Amino acid sequence: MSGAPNLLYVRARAALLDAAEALAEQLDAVVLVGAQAVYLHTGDADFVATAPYTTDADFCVAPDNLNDEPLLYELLQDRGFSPGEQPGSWRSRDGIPVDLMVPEALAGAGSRGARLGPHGKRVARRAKGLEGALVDRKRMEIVSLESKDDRSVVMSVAGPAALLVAKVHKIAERTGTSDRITDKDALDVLRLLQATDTATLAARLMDLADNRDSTKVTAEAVSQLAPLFGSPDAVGISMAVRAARADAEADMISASFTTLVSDLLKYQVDP
Amino acid sequence: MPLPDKQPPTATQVARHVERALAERIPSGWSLYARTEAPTGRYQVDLLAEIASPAGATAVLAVEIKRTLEPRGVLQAVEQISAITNRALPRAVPVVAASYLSPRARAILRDHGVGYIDTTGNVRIEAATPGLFISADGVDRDPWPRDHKLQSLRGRGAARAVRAIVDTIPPYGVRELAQSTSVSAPTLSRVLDLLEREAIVTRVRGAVSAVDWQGAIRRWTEDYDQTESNTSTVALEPRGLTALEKKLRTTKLRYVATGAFAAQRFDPIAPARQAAIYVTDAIEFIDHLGLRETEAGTNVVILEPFDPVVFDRAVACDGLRCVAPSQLAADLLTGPGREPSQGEHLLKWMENNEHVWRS
Repeated sequence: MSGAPNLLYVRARAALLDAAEALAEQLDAVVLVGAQAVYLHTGDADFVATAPYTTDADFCVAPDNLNDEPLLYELLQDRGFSPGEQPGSWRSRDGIPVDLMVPEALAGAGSRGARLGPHGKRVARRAKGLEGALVDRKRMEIVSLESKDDRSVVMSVAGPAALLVAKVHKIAERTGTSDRITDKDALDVLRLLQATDTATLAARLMDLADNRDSTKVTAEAVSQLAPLFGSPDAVGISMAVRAARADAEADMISASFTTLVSDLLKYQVDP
Repeated sequence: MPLPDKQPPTATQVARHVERALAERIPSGWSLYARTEAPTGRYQVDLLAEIASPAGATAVLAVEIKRTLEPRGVLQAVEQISAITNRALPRAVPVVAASYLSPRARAILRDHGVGYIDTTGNVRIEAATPGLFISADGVDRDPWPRDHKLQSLRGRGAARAVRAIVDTIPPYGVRELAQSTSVSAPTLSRVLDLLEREAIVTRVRGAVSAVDWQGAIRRWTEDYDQTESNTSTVALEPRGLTALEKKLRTTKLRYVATGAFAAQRFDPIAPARQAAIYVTDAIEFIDHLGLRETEAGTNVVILEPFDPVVFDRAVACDGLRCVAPSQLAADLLTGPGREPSQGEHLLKWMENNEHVWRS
């Protein structure tokens, strides 16, 4: 059974809470995305025993909800976060990576850093595929996983449809790079498909497709579902099998994936 | 050696077989000298075999020969041969030989440090000096069964009887047990006869006074097999076993879980990768729970049971219905993959928690 959470995951959750507390005054402009958001929806699903936990905390910044002050980088630095070389990449005192990203459609000009007015162009980076996180999101309470830490924070968390779109973009961008870190994203896609009722997921995807900011990325992601995950030899399925470190269950992972993707596509979510 | 058809070999034939089997199995360069009905002081040994290593060290085997030997007679044979070796031949290795020795008979001999040879090829001889170890497997089923007695625990009635005998703490009479478990008294009697011959059940004036419940489960699994005795259909729960558990917790269909999926609830072991579920109608179950039938890649085995006894004395665990530990042990010991070793683990748990599952 699942037992005690993995130590790295406990530290990652602590870093998430640190960052959320640091950003408290601007938290209405921040949405949790990435693997930690996925786990909040899917729980400790079936592959926990073999899959390595993610350790970073990913935040999506909504430029429209962002106040001119306090400045994001001052808030982070005041709480001991230090900036990395890339725009938007931060590290907690513990060395846990915390990433701030802005959906590309809202990130202004430039190629890497997001243009956030007085906040500058290095505090967050532009990322394609996150647009849906500003549409499909829900406020959730996030608690510490350490027994002696009783902190909790209420903040927006991207919904399963938005996370699915974001993960598919990330995987599609990296296919062919034999990047083992992205393998884990394929398993996260399976977790989202397993944990979310198919009709609900389809309806949320259609909502995303109807929203001006996320129409394009949603359509692209949906069109990638079949080539990435629709057949047993699809590249996304091999990635998920590698990430689960479960060669013996390759057939089961593959059959689950293709079944759930084909169920989802029956709803004609294709805009 | 060709086995005669209807009758077991005579004691003389058994003795000849022992000589031949030893001669064939000793290491090359070693020598064998055997005498039958060898007097040793006041005692007479059925067969005395001296096995000498090339260096000249000698192992002496004192062999007690029986034409037929059922497990319940094994202890007496052990006492006979040990009495002789202890008093007259302290260096000799005690050995018992018969036409056929059942798995249970062999286990008892092993437990008492007594060697054995039968005419079907089962052999185990161990001598410390000179170092000699001979071990081989013959058949596990009596080639000369006696018609009038129950020989097998295959089948529904036998299974129901074994489950009742294992799950009930003795003492009890046959009629009493028949009433409390709705197994017919004649079936119970015949199964008890078999288990008594196997030295698994002890009866005093007809009433059962002691049951080696582990022995009974192991004897049952010689004739029962999770995958062969039941009718299985495989399916996929694409949302995984956690989702399956949620559905099972609320379903109105009759089911009981077994295998590793159930075992992990009694004793935490590695999480199951596959769920095995007994149901009355597999197709109805698949439809009702929204499972899929796929060509490759499955995580649910749906079993239509050989007998509804699998549902008897089911236990609630973790909000799920699981087979009784006695059924689970038999299913695991005969199950796929790592389940047999999980079955051994469960037997240990049952030993330590007898008060929980036996009444």
